[in-house]
Amino acid sequence: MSGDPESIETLSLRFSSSPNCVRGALATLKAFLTEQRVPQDMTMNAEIVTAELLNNIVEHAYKEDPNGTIWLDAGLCLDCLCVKVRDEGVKMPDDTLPSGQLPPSDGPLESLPEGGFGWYLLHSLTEKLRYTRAQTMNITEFVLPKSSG
Amino acid sequence: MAITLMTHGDVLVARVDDSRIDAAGAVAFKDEMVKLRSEPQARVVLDLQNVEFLDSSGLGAVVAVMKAYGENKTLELAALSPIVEKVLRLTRMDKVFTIHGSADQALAA
Repeated sequence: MSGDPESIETLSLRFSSSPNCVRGALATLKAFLTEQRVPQDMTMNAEIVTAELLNNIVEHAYKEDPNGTIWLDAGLCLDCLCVKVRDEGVKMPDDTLPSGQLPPSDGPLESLPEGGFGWYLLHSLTEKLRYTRAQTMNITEFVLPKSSG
Repeated sequence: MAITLMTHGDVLVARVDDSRIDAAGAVAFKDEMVKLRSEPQARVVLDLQNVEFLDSSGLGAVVAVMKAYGENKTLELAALSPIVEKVLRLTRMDKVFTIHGSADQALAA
């Protein structure tokens, strides 16, 4: 990055709402972060949370229809990565993000959770996670700090 | 989902040869692994040395396999890469599985 403290490296992607296109978008995001020499932990976190968000859009916003469009815009600042994802699928129930409570895993085998992990990962690894709706567009944004667990 | 099987006595090692167990491939993975229910070995070791990425769909599929095996067969994990280890640890699901550093270590256990 240049010496200008305000400079931001950006990535703008537009892709279809299929699992394979999601893989492609994640690979492009990962390559961008690697090229920008972002700490490995941050690159890992970015792939983990972005995958969860994109999977959710494919499965719930577009209900597995692969013909929808997803826009991903990422901006890398000195100490964080800002990500904004937009889609034109159905809106979130109650116009709000799921709370992302971790399903309990201390019970007997037959009670072990097989889902509910995604929103927990999103909430716990990101900051300023927010959802808004503008006309027919869902907009979900989050910030990943450079130094985190 | 490409999975290579090797038997060593009472242990069946299932090595995933895809680099991701994610939303695109979780169902295929689960279906392949659940088929091993009919194999005689009491221990199944899932060798994840090639798997760079596991999302919540992949994790759910691994848990579903473990539940499908029930009490008669154990599902153990081996060779977790950094993202796989992190996803298991953050969700506290690392406490649910026996985890080995490698398939060889699982066989020696």
